Amino acid sequence: MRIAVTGLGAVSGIGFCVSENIESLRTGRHGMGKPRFFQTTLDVPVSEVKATNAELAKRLNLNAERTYSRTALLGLMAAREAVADAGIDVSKKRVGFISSTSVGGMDLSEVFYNDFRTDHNRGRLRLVSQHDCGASTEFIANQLGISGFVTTISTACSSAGNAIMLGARMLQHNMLDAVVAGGTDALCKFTLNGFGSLMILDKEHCRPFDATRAGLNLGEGAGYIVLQRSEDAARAPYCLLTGYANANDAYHQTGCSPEGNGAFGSMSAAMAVAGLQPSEIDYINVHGTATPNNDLSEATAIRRIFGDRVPPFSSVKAFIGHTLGASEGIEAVYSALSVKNGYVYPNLNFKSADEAIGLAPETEFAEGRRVRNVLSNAFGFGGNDTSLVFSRAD
Amino acid sequence: MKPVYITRTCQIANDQLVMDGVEAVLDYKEIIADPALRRRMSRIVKMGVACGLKCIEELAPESIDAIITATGFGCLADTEKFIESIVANSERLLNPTPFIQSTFNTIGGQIALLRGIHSYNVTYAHRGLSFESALIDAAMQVAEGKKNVLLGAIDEITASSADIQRRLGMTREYELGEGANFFVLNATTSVKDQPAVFDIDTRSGKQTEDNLVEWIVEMADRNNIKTSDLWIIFINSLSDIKNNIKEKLGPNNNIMGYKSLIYPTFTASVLDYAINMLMGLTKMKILLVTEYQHINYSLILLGRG
Repeated sequence: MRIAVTGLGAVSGIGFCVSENIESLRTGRHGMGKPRFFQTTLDVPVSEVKATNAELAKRLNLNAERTYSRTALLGLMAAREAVADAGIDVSKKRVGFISSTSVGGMDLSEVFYNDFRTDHNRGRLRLVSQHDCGASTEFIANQLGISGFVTTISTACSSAGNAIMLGARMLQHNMLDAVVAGGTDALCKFTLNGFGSLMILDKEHCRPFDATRAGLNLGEGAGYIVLQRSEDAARAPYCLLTGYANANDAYHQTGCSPEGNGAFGSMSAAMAVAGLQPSEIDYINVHGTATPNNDLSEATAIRRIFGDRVPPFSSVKAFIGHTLGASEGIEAVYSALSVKNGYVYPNLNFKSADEAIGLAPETEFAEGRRVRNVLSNAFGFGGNDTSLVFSRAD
Repeated sequence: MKPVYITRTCQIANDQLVMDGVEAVLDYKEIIADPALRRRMSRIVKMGVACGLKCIEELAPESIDAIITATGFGCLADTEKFIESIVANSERLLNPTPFIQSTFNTIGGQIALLRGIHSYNVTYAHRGLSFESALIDAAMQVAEGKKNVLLGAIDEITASSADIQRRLGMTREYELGEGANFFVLNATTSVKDQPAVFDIDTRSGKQTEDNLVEWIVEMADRNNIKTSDLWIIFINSLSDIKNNIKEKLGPNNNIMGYKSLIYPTFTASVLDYAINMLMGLTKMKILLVTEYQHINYSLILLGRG
């Protein structure tokens, strides 16, 4: 069975739709800046979607009087674009929606908590009723009119990769005919302070794979892809999803093993599912968060697989930040277009190679390259590593 | 769907450990030996990790092909602790432990870490269908040839979440609860009459009595079973309408209601209960009809293989 990618939708700090995202990647326009849309005293760059919640609601034709979590708004924006792009009839029973998020409605919950902490009878309930991860998923599914299988995955930063993998497997098992899969996450105080407390936020613009890299920048956004069996596709697919795998590093709750065991496991297994040799991968969209630990561990795993023939690779994290539960949703969209149009994305801010890594990422935007297969990585807390393979449809 | 055999069950609720239906001694010190690690763990993490570890204690790490967990609310105490520290310390000098543990996949990740299990590991967090989603994934894993799939569900209740749920009116019909339930699933078993899940389906959005009847018949049909040959157990608020549904379904004397404590992944504890009930039934299958907050519904068909 061939699984086709037939629809794409993305919103991030560098654009409200897929074409805006690509245009920013092409012209080197990143989304980093000081936090403007949520209150924090931390002075670190973040990649915010450049609109208030009220502006997002307006763009989505929602009643601006109501309260929506930012996670739900961003998710609806990207999922709606993906569904329209694929031209699928979502009212059909066997259309599923699989979303992922790491914070859910936390942006509202932390506002609620300011009043609630001193008196449990205080705090506006509408601010906390959307706290759980499932809330944004069900809101988006309802808005889209999807009444088939709906669920939410939350495995930290690899969440959306796992959502896409589940979607593919449900098509394989003939449990669904079409599935919208990906993830959404909004920036909030909770996650920014969480990564701050782990001392892995760079106060400067992040530099994936660079010798001077000193940590990550967070971002927000959402990304979804529509998957169908290729014979059911209403339009010519962007590409095929040929490989997917999830493996666990089982080394540390938040750090990666020096050998990159989990990453090695997910990348090799995803390529095995796709039936590909290392020489057939033409581009790797790496996880590349720009923490000293992640990039070295990921590079080590890549070298274990590809030896001295490492294909072109890059991290888009310096453009859009680490968007956590949304990251592989957005990056799956970029990866699908890499296969379709031969795009290779620039790894912004890479200047000096790290001797321990011994690899240099792509630094210029390219198009029209021969890209047969793209490997895309997403790694998370809990040792959770997921890799996807996108391949040419012809 | 191919039958999925449940080769081991483990439950921790009210500080009691029950394994394969038999009460056992719950000694966290024995299960999680590292005292520093144990101290850092919040209640839900300790409960979930201990329950999962007990469930696979006799299995070699390389023989476990998947760890699939479910939690509706995640690690609430850790989440609140971290939010409180952000406010109280004005975003400065925060202890990262509650943040790290607030992640929804903490329990699945910790089980993998403590036993060195490198296989598939995923966590579902979707309200009243978190456990059902995990069960569907687990059934697919088993169908894909995976062995010893560890499936678990964990939710905790905290003072704050109880107050919020009370204010939201979620406690009017229900009594809140919490617990951890883990299961080991396999495609085959050497044990005669081993309990097995035969089918599962989920729905979101309020279901009418007619919707439920139609859905139950549809599931019975696709499994070639007459509804009159099923023990149908209506869970929680559905037990109040069981007689109406019974009339619409036609003759069936094997209909009962069951009220459990309520938390998003409570259906895992109901499944454990039904597995024990199966031991007293020779040939019949059980159909669980569950409901959570009138938004999430599931049907789970189980019997002895």
